[in-house]
Amino acid sequence: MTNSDISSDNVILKVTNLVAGYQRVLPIVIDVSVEVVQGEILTLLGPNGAGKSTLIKGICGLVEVISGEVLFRGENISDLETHEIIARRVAYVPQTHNVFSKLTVAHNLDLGAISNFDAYQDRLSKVFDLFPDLKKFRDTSAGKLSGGQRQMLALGRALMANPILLLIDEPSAGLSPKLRDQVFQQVVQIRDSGVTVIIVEQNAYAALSVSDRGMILANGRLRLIANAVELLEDPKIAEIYFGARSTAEKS
Amino acid sequence: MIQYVVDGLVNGSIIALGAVGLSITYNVLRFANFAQGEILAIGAYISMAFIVLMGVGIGSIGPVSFGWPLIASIILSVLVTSVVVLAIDWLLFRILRQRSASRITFIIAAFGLSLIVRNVITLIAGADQMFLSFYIPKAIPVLDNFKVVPDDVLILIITAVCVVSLHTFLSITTVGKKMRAVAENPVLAMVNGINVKSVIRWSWIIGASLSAIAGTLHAHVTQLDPEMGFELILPMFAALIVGGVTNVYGAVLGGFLIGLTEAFAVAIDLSAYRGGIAFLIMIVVLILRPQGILGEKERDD
Amino acid sequence: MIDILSFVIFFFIICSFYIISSLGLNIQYGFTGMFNVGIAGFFAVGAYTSAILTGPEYADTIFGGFQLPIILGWLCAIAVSGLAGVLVGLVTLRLREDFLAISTFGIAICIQLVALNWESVTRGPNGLYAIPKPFSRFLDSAVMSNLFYLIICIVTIVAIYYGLERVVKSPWGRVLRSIREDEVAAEALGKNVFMYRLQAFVLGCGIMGLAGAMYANFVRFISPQDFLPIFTIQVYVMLIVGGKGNNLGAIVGAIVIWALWSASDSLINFIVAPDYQTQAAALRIIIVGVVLVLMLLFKPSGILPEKKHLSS
Repeated sequence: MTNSDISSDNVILKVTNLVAGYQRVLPIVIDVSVEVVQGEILTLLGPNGAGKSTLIKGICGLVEVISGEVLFRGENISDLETHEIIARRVAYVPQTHNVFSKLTVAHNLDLGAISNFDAYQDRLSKVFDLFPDLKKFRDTSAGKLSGGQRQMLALGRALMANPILLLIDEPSAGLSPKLRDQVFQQVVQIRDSGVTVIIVEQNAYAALSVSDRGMILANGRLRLIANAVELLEDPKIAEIYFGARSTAEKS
Repeated sequence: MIQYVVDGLVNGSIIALGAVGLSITYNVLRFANFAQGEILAIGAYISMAFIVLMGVGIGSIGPVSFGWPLIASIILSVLVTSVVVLAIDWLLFRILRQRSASRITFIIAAFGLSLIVRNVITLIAGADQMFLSFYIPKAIPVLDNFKVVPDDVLILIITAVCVVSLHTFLSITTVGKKMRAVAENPVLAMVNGINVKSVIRWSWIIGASLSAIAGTLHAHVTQLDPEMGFELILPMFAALIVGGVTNVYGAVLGGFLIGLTEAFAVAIDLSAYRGGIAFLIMIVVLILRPQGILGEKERDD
Repeated sequence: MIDILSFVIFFFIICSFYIISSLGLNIQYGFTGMFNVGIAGFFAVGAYTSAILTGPEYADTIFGGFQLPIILGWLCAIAVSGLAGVLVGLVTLRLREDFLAISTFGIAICIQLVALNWESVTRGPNGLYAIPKPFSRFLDSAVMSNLFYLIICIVTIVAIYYGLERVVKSPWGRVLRSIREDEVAAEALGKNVFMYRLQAFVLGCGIMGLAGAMYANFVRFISPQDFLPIFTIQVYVMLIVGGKGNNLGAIVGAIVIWALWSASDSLINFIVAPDYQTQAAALRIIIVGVVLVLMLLFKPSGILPEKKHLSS
């Protein structure tokens, strides 16, 4: 597959020959290179243990970059610590434990903005516009929210940091199909407000249908990167990578 | 009887302040710091050193034998103890964090550290008891048949000021909010852009500062010896567990409860077993309510 | 010549008590990942149990003077220390590992307090004396009786070593290691993690109690001063230097550290003026602490690292 339609000047994130993992002797992501374009939604797909989550954790410094390079807006961020990367307006939403459950919704949102309080009120009203539930439950402790509301809080909290690049780890995990579609629609709205988004997802069809491009990892290596539409329409790819379950889901 | 209550509250103040330090390391750095008692001892000995250097005794203000030289020493001790503790973290715990050592490794290292500190103190200051001053508590009648020692009242006031300041710090300042975030979920704190290393440094500074104050107060009402911190560690752990490990204010409540029960043990002539009383209360709490009085059950979400 | 021989025998006898304690700790810490800060306490329980059961009648105690055979005293020491382990374990082994550390630390201090203050049984700080030593009635030479004692020690160590080796290679031992590596996964396999941990904890405490009993019947005089926290640290240093999770490492570490400790003792007595003995003793303990910390930092697997067992 080619990336010929990507011109180099609007590349926001450039990952080159990235090797990352928890132990140097046991890398989980191996030799991955990818360019992410300003304003796109890129979905990372692949079987369990393929290295999808580790790749985005490597980008935001939660996992050691063993070799290779991560260029964010032209700056090499691969040796920076997480808080320094976040300060450069990269946000990350973990799959689990993604809200401070003992603290209130409002306090969670405050913490999202803690490294930069500029235009705090603007950001807060934007987040409340996108997720009206959060406004309603602003004084509730996050541990009491439902699964869907919690996911919204996790996204809202990340948006409070005013990110340029948003990394989301399995936003639909544990959600009903209805809530899942709602979350993906919200991701589209986030993108439309100018944020570039990378999603790690198991629900290939649901994610690809809102994405611009999809990228498939297997055993830590990049197997395929293509336009989402191509991936969705190629029955062979569906069979090989998404398995029977997803095919059934499509029909 | 009232005297026992006052003694219990004074002793409880010291345990409470020390246990707050224990609670902060437990929640932010996530291990039981067996060297916490020795941080109190370091604070007390540094105050002692400044008193000796100034050479004018501890002074007095009005009815309290708690003069400017002692206040100055406490302030200096807070600073120096913080620096010493940060140095220890840099030499020891920082490296263990870098190696992602297990929690047990941290505890063993702290246990080894406590032994090292006790003996370094012996090496420098000797094994004999030392006194900040030759202060003899003099009770002043307040009501008809009720006398109090002014210094005891002052210690309770100092403790109250410390606890209120801590509360303000944790709930109002950015550093305090960050600290609570790191305590609940370090990874999520990091992805909120919080510099966890800086929060860890602040945690040590706050724990060391309260410990330096508590250690000096303890030295003021009793004496200094290299074992002083070691004798306080079990009551402090008991206070932490009784009050609830996840709650800083639990440590304060637990401190006073342990202080009062120890005084009660003395009152009923069980002073020889004083150290064991704290432990027994702790075990009872662990059986009946493992999360402590003010603690919340640890959840998986 | 006989002097050197008797010194060597004495050295290895004392060393044996550390070796046995270190083997007991290995089953708890090395194989199961439990942190017991109360080794000195369980050792003391064993020592007092055997001393009271096998020792003579004292004029000032209300309990004791049973003069039971020494082997019975040792078996009871194992049982009583094990029982103490059950009590501590029942309360704390379900909780986070920190609580076990704090509780065992507390137990050791309470045991110390009881030994100091329960004068009608332990004679308090005066200690228990004239505790019988095996074979001393039949052997009039001290060297010979020590030699026999050493043989008893070696036989005991060999027995414990082979016993533990069989235990850790058994399915039971494999479960212990899997608990240490990943408690959640072990639980998911349907293993009752709590019972396994309790069994390992009690086994370790019983072994420490035996070490204490053998100590009491060798030195013949015990007092609360013999069971200080430094003992606990020494055993940890031995196990960590030798190699946690390796029974041979536990033995080697105990010998190496005890040799260094004894050598430094002689050296200090030799070169340090009597006025500075307190400082010298402190310095020696500092060195032990520093060795522990340096090992944790730079060589946590020890001289003889754990053998990689094939996981089931």
